[in-house]
Amino acid sequence: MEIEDKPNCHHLHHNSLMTHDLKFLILHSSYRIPKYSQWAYSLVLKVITLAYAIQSTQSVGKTERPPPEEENRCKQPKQSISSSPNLNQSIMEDLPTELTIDILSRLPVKTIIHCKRVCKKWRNLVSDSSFVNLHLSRSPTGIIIHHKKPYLIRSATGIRIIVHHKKPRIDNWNIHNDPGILMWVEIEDIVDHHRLHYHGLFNVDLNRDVLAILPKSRVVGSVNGLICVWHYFPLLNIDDTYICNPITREYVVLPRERFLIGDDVGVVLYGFGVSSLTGEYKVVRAFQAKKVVQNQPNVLEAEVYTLGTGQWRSLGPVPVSCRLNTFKEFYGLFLNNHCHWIVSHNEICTFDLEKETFQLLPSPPPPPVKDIWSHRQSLAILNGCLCKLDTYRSELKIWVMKEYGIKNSWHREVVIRREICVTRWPLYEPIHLIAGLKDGSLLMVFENKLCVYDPRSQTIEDTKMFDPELSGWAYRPSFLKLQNSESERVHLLT
Amino acid sequence: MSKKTLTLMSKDKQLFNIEEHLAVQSVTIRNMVKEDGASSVIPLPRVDSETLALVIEYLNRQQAPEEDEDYVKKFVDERGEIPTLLELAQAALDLDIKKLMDAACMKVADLIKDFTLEEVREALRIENDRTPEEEKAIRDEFQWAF
Repeated sequence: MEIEDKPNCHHLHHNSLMTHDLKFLILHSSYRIPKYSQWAYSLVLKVITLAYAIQSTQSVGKTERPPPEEENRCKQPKQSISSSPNLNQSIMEDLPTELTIDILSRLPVKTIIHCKRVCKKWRNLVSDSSFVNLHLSRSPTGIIIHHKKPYLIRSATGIRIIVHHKKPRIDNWNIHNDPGILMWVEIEDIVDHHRLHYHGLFNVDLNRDVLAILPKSRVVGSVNGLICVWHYFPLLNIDDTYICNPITREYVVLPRERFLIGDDVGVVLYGFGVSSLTGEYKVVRAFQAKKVVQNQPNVLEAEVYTLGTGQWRSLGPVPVSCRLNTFKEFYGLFLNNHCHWIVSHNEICTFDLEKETFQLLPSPPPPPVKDIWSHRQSLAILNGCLCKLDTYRSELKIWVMKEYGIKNSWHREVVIRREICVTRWPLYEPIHLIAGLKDGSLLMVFENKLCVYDPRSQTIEDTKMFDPELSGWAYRPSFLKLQNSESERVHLLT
Repeated sequence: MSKKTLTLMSKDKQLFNIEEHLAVQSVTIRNMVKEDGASSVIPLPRVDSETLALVIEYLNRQQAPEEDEDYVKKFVDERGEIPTLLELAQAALDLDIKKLMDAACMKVADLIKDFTLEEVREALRIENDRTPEEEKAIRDEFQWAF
């Protein structure tokens, strides 16, 4: 809608920024506890506003008067602009870049993108590294959701992210098994309540070939707004790693790994992170031969890729025992310069991104013998600390490592009994923790659903934002730019 | 130790007295005091007297540490006009008073986040120099956000 420049009509544009959000809010995408009635009331107001906006958009008229609420809303800030007594033009004209960057970095992602259109200076600032870094330092944690059964979008080349303004539904996916779509859920995280919305729905189509059988894809890492996606189908020799920024829509395809997965080799661990010392982004993965050669240990071998270098480097055998196909989760949780995975029985394996070495990290106490058979594990970050989730048939225990690397600092923070869970309790998969919120709630994914645990009311509820079949990870959106290099061409999702 | 007083001078040559132990919340002033004892008047050539009066009021606050955050928030909330807030942010930037600058910038961001582009330009006195081609390029680049 190209109307924000017309006099008296800017309210239309303003609304158009919100239209999609409102649709989502109205239909399905919002979830909030506990001030429900207040929320409902504001929703009703918004619906009315929206209805007005749609009406006025349809009958576009330059001189049309805005509806009452609109008028009030627009007027209020305007008054504050024009009626100020101490307006000092000279300072305003050269608002220091530092201040502009500071103010911009505090705006929501979508508003920042719209602000790129304010003037040339602002457009360039958003790409400036000082803005990018400041914004990243303030960017709140959200969720990246990989929805596994969306509807199919055909694409002949590369990854595609497409905005979808409607809720993906299983009954809309009509043709193939497909690689899935990625969605970003923004968390409005306030001290006494939270609200979730996915206003800007990404559709990531990872199909590189229009084939009858499509490869699988997995999100295997997320750091500083970049996500690492693995795209594989051994039968067709497909084994590609992508690094992508869903906000700027840039992505690179890494060169082929030395070992491709296939009949004889399988990937066990995958990780993506950044070295705080050098600022280098690295992808690491570890392989294992599928066939066990008699009298020889089934060795795990790793290789690492530093973004911009163009080649994978072998790290040789990994001194950690790990069984192939034991875990469906490859995702390496990145924290404190290390990627983390759960290996073997109750052990945490780490990869140091600077030293490029694997090590075991002290684990919390093992489960009681009687519970071993029902024990499922996952790793997450809670209040900046590494935490481990032990899912049992009857309960979930969340252990937090208060001091990184210190065995005695493992503390059992939360125990959630199965009885309080109204949705189905996971029996075969671990519960995944996505984020701990300021109001004490925990956002979790299990049984392919995005759920919220509220410690005050002692409830676990399905947010019902999406149809089932999803996985989710913590994700902090950023404007980080991918760099072109000889071996990595930066592409833009089309 | 007796309470030492410093004198700050605004752009329009007005003088403000403030106790040194309060003034050194400003890193800029703290460094000046460290360097030469800052016995004379400290000139602030970019800060007008109205803004400096606000800064002095802020520096003179007597809050318990646990209430300070709320106070700073309320302080900028009460000066909810964008030009005032920008002046305040600019002064806080020059004087290196991080808390005040953060709060002022946060408040401006809060105010402009629901503005239209035209309102943002008007509020921050920005000239619209973009071309239709650039506009299209941004829309193409960030399709999902439009």
